[in-house]
Amino acid sequence: MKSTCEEARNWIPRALMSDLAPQDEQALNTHLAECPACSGEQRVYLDTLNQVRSVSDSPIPRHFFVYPNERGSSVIEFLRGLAPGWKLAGSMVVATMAVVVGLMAARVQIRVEQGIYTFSFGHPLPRAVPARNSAAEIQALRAELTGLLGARSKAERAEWMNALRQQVKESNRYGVRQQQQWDAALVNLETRLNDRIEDSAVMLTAGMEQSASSVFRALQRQRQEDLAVTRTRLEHLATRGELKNQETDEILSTLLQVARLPEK
Amino acid sequence: MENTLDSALSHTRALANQKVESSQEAAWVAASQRGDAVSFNRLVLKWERAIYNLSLRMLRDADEAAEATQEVFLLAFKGIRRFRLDAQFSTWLYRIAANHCTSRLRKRPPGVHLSLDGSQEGTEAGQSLAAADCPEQEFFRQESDHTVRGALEYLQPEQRIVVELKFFQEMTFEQIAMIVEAPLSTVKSRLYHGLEILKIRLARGAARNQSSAGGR
Repeated sequence: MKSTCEEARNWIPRALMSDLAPQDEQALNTHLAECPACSGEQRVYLDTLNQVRSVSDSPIPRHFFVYPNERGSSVIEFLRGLAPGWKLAGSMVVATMAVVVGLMAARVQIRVEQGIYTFSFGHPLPRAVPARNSAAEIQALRAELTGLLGARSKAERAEWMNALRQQVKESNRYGVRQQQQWDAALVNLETRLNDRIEDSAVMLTAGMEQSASSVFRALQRQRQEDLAVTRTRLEHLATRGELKNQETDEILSTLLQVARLPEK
Repeated sequence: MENTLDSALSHTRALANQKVESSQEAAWVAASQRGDAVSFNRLVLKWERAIYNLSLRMLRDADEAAEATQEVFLLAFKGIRRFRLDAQFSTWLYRIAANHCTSRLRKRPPGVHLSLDGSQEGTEAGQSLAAADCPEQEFFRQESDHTVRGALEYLQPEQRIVVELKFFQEMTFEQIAMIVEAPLSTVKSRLYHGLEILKIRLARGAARNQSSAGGR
C-alpha cells in the first residue's frame, strides 16, 4: 500500500499538468478515492497551483522603447548603410590593398628589361648583366653556342645510336630465339614425317606382297582353266580330225572305187 | 442554440484576430530586420508587459526587472537580423529574456535573495489598494502575490524560469523546452521539483498565517 501511495504522490503533479497516461490517471483516481492522505496531498497541490496562477501581472513602470542609435555602430552596420557607389569604390580599394599585401607577403619581384617582364616569388632576381653590343662577343657567343649545340647533338646522336644498337641487339636475340624455335619445330616435323613414311612403306610393301600373291594365284587358276579348256578343245579337235579323216578316207575310198569302176 | 451560435462566432472572431495579429507581427519583425526601429517599438509595446513581469517574478526587484527588460529588448533589437522568420517571435524573445534573467540570477551571491527595496512595491500596492473597489479583497490578493513571489525565491534559476513559463506564460512543455534549450524530460523534472518546493513553502506560509490569526 505504501508503494501505491508513493507512486500516487509522484503522479499527482503530473496528473495536474495533464502529463499522465490515461490508465495511470484512472489508477490514480481510484487510489485517491480510497486514500484520504493522498487525496489531501492532491488538495494541497491544487491550492498551490491556484495560488500560483492567481498571481496577477504588475503594471509596467514605463515603456521600454529602443532607439536606432542604441544599436551600436558596428562596421557591418556602417557598410550596409553606404550608397552603392561608395560600396563599389570601397570594395575596389580593399581588393587593391589585398592584392598589394598578398604580393608583399609573397615577396614578389618584377623586372622589365627590353620589354621582357621577369617575375620572382621569394627568390631575389639575378643581377642584370649590362648589354654590350660587340660583334666579336656576338661571334664568340655564337661559336660557343654552336659548339655547345654540336656537342649536345653529338651526345644525343651517340645516345640515340646506342639505343638503336641495343634495340637491334635485342631484335637479333629475339630472331635467333625464333629461328631456334623454328628449327626445333622443323626437326620435330621431319622426324614425324619420316616415321609416317616408314610406316606407310611397310604398310605398302605388305599390301603389295599380298596383292602379288593373290594375282599369282589368280593367274595360275586362270592358266589351269585355260589349259583345261585348250585340252578339251584339242581333244574335241582331235575327235573332229579323226572324224574328218574317217570321212576323207571314206570319200577317198569312195572316189577310188568310183575311179576303178570305168577301168574295169 | 443562440448561445452555441454566439460562442462559435466569438471563437471564429478570436481565431481571425489571432491570424491578423500574427501576420502583423511577422510584418513588424520583417521591417525590424530591415532596420525599422518604429516597427520594432511596436513589437516592444506588444510584449513589454509580459517580459517585464517575467523579469519581475524572476528577479523580484522592480528596478532590476525594468533594467533587465530594457536590456532584453535592446539585445533583441541588436540580434533581430539573426531571427529566422519561420520561428515564433515570442519564443525567440522569451529565450532572450530567460537567458538574461537566469544569467543575472547566477551572478548574484549564493543564497536566497530577498528584496530590500520594498518601498516601490509598497507604494504601488498602497496606490492600487486605495484605488480598488474592495480594498480588503485587494489587500488579500496582494498578500497572496507577495507570498507566491517570496516562495519563488527558493527555486533555482533553472526551476524558476520553467515555473514562470508554465504557470504565468501558460506555455506547453515543448515550447518551454525550445526556450530554455533543454530536453523535454529535463524541463518536466525541473517543473515538478519546483512545484514541490512551492507547495512546501506556500503550505508553510499558510500554516504560519493561520497560527498568527489564531494567536490574535
